Amino acid sequence: MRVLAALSGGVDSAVAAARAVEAGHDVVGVHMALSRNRDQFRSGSRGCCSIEDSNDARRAADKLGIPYYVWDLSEEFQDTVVKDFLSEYEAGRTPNPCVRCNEHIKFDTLLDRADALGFDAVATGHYARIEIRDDGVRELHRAADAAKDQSYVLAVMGPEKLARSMFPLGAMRSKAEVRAEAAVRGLGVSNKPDSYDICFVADGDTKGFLQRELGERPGDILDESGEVVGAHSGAYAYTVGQRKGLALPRPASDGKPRYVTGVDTERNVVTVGPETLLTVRRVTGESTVWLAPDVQAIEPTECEVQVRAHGAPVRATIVRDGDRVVADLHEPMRGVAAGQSLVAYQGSRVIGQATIAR
Amino acid sequence: MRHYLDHAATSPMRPVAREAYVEALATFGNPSSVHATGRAANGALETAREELAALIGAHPTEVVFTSGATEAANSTVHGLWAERPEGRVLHSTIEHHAVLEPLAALTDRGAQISALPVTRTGVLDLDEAARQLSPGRGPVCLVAVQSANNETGAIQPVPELAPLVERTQAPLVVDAAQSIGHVPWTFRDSGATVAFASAHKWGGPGGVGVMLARRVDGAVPARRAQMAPLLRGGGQERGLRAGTVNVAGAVAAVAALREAEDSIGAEVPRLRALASHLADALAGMPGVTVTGPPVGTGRLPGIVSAVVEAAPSEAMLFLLDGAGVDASNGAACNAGVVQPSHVVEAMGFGGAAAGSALRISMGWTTSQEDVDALLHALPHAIERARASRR
Repeated sequence: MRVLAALSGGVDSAVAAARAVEAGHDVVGVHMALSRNRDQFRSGSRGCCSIEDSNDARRAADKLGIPYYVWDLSEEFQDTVVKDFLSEYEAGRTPNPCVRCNEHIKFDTLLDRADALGFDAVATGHYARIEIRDDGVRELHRAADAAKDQSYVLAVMGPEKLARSMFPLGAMRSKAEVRAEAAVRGLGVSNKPDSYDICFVADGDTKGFLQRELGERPGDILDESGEVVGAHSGAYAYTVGQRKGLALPRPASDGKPRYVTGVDTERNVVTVGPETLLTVRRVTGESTVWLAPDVQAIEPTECEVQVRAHGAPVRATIVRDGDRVVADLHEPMRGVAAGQSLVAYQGSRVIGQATIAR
Repeated sequence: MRHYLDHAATSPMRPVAREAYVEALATFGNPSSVHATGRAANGALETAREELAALIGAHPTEVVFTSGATEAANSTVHGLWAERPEGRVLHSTIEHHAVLEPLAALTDRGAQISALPVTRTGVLDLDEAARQLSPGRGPVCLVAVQSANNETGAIQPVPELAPLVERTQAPLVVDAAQSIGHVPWTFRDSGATVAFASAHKWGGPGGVGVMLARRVDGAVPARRAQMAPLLRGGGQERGLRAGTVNVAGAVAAVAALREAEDSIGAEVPRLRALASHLADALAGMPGVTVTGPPVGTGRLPGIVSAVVEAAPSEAMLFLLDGAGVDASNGAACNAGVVQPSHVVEAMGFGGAAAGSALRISMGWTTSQEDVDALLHALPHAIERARASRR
């Protein structure tokens, strides 16, 4: 197969590309330039987007003996990921930009462009497994290494894109194993630190980024009775379930910690309350993407749902109705933020994904 | 087999240069040393300097060896500005980044910089230049106009511009990187106060450049190249460029230039015929517009440029690469990202066209077979490149 290997400059995508080469595919490496003004050097815990990262990707391609190109997708990234990130926060939701990037950039723009240019598949360094059943159905599964599993942020890609994707690292048992393999293959990125911040938020300071981009909008923090208990500089910067950074002048009367229970950006109001108010037993999702043709969930269906990138899955009964999905949780969950992904699993298999509605 | 059609980026080293290079590497010595070994190195260097001067119509003392055209351009811009930091700095809109960037750096130091426009075919608008240079417009610090453009091959009217610049007593800076060794060009007749080029563009080694700095100008004493050195140190190269000179590089550069100059008479018509064939074929493809002056005397013989409607350069170059053809969009790459062409924009094509430029540049190794390979691969590449954007 002709395979386009997306090379971020990190160790995962380099090893993934190496494995695609070793599997006998005709591989071409492509680094996506996602920022218009790229920094010369990598800094902090950002794992991509600097010129140093693109040079690391180029050196990995050299080592593998594959052609290498940089594709400028900065405009698409700005339009579909960064702007969405800001407008979602502005609307009082908590977006997951990695999900949006997978949805719009990696498994849309990149995949389509690869398709038009004659590639059969795109290989990335994501940790997830694709299993092809005898009946041809492709199943998306959690990675062998639960700690690195990225099926949560990949589910949004939907069933058609799975057929044109390869995740060569899905069966790796640990990141250490990937690093060891990179070292054996002589890939210089074997010791490169992991990245975990949002790539376009330079210093990991999301609140500061939002304030710079959206401006300060001072307003009140209310308690559950509607009494003003504090002040904020922009309701958009708060997330339901948040406890830190509230800077409330007085403790609650019961002495217990208070959490953000509501964010209303139209009224520019943040509501706080005790932990008990955060508890939900039902989560509704919209813009549903369904991956399991054999488990349609039109009737109540048992599964597990996950609502945060590294959150624990909870048993639930789900019902799908067109674009929407309702999950009744078997045990209460707290800190469910609108805008995040709801991903439904049966065992390790992803059956569907939706965006959590308010 | 690869088909290399990117000579304007760099031209393969001529075997005669490679041989001269290896031979010169065996003779070591610092040309500044006073002993016999140093004298031998200096002898080789000065022989190279004299030959180069003779080949391009300069006096040997006007020849300064540098690490390349970019260094020479930076030395020239900063060096001239340091001696005369008053008046307007004028440059064509289509200068190479090696000129544009040091000029931009002068803006931070208070320079007043104006761009001279070009016509739709990418040739300096002489009427507008004359207006900008008229006595009523105030003093001029320097004027920078290249001899020929690296993206379109359009030869610039430098000889016609020179008298207009001379009236202002300002130095005329000429980037001759695309001309020397490719078309008949002499420093003496160019009208330039300072000119420069890179040896790797004429089949010499990388890392060797030449800066030509006029020492006398009988009629206008002010047009002697009065410039402060950018690199200071041991005072080599008449104090204009400190640093131990790369003797073997200079020797190889001159060996390559000798062969290039000797073959210009035969190469110009040969390449022009290939370019003509290529330009005609391109013009016949749907949505393809050949840019720059028509193939002929107004254009470097080896460069053909075009804009391809709705086909991003990035995708076309990718597909041609896969088909064994090395081509370019002409513009600089910024850390691997194919940049839109400022030259195509300056010619009045829109921003979309600037992102769909294609440059084919031919040279001493180019054969009909290379051009045929390109023409074979291109229609498919254009079609696919167009499909890659929704």
